[in-house]
Amino acid sequence: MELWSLGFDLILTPLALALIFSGVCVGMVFGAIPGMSATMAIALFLPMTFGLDPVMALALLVALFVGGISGGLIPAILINIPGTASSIATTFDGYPMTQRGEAGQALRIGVLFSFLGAVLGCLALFFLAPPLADLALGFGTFEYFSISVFALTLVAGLAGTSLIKGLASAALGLLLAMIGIAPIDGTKRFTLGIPDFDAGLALLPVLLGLFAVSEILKEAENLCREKKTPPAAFAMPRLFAMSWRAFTSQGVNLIRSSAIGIGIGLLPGVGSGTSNLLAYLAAKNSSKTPEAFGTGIADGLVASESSNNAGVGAAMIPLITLGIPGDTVTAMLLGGFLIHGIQPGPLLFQINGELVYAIFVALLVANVMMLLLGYFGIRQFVKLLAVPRQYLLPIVMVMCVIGSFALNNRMFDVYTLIAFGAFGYVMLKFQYPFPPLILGFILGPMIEQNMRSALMTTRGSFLPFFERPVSAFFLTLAIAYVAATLWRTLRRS
Amino acid sequence: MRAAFRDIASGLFLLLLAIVLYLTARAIPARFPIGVDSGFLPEVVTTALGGLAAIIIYQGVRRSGKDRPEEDTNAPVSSRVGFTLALILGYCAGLSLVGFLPATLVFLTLQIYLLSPNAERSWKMAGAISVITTISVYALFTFAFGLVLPSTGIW
Repeated sequence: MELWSLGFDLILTPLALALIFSGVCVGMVFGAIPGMSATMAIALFLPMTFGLDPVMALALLVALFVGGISGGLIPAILINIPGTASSIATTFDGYPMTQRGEAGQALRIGVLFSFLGAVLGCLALFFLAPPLADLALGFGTFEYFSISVFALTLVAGLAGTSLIKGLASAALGLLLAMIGIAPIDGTKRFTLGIPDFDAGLALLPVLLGLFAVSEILKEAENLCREKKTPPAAFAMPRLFAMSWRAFTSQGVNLIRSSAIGIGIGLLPGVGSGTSNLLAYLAAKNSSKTPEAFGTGIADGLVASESSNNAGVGAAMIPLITLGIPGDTVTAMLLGGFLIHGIQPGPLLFQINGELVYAIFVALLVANVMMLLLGYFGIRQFVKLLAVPRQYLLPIVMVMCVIGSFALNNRMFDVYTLIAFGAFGYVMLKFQYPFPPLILGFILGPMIEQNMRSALMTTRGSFLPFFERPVSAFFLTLAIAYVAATLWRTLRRS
Repeated sequence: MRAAFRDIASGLFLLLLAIVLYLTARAIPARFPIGVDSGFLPEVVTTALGGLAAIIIYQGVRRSGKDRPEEDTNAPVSSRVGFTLALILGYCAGLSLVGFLPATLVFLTLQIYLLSPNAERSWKMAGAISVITTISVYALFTFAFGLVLPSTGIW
């Protein structure tokens, strides 16, 4: 309770509240504009956090995350284009409601159940993260190695359409992480004799290059192709968009969909892009009137929006307790932690407990602000759909350059940013997924350090990895998952 | 681009990369007597990458002749991406040569103009947004956050 109180003290200050408010606003704008995302919003704001205290910086980044996921429902409902992948299923019933002239009602239902799903996700975070961190304190090199390998294989398999390409992407990420001085014995690897490579590649330029710069290049391609869709006009509904009876009838749907969102959010690599579809299908399959789905009913909206927002809190659990990001947005958040000298993991609760609880409180406050902004400011957000992306994207590029340069005050990091932007664009064109590469890059040092430390104690024997229960469990899962997916792929081809 | 071509070309590139990196990894000197040395994991990962590249090539070869060409990317699209990349590279060079303010001003103006649909292109609009953004960003990061931005001593 003392840590909760400290967390509230740190967040309930005018500056923190202003930052969270701005973060939710900007996040919702980015989520609302198709082609922009929460990842891009965080990329834009990372350089601004250099000058901030770590608590303020992370509060801002968490608020951007919440806003970015929530904002996707606006274009999904109004123009039938999901602002983010997490709102794909929102279009199924949201847009038919708009066509019936019920856009305002659909938006308010979406926002309300986004909030409720997010609260359930936060509860999962509050109750699961501390015991998981305690459990993780007992982990040694064997367990960390096995969990990292498991996370990497899972992301490789689920992030794209092909497991093989996902694994190749993960292998590239691991190799990129090996550039520089090796752990344990300090041998230089793959440095090409260039001194700038000795310290390895910095995470931030690699992340920004892959996710922001490549996206700008992709958008440069799309901007000249797309046709403009004017936002639909709508009338504001009454304050509560549904009757009490209709609201309570969504209880089971809310809990089931949020549970799906939390479960998916916990798994690395799957993300809210999948959970909203799964929750929609689950709601449809368990409905007495499945044929009504897709015609504009609240059940579909509730399922999609509560599941994707529940995943926000859940996605923070592996990040905070193990230091393992589950998706691109949490990888960006990890970048935010690292640039402020904070290493997420089980020790974070002991070394920097007040920071962890400040993040919890920030998440809760951001969700309340999202509800208020979504409920009362929806008309303004709708107008933002008309903001031309050709003005926003170059500004994002400038911010990425500043962020990369400010990291070490050297142009090498800017060149890294550009190189990975171009590389990311090529990966997009050749349909190789990014998340495995990023996770391989982040987990590479963790995997190698733990593997080599463990093998030093076993004098080179790999058997003990299968003799310790937690390590054996995760390694077996990883092997079984890869084998099963490969078998399916080979049978199909 | 055909899916088969995409797989074969990327697979060949990855295979070549895996071979080069494997040979480099083999040359890493063994310095540690206990456990495994620094070359072990690179060798394992490059071997895996080579194997995966071979499977990607195999899948591409099997698919060739069966798949239809996908939507063709027309020349204006490619040139727009090429110009954008060239502008970004020019911007980086400009940062070292003339400093943040002029380089950002020129980059934003050209990039906004380039990305705008033909019917909406306006030098005035692009210029106005660039001036406001550049000055605001410079003031925010330099005076409010105290960050060092790329400079040449003049700007």
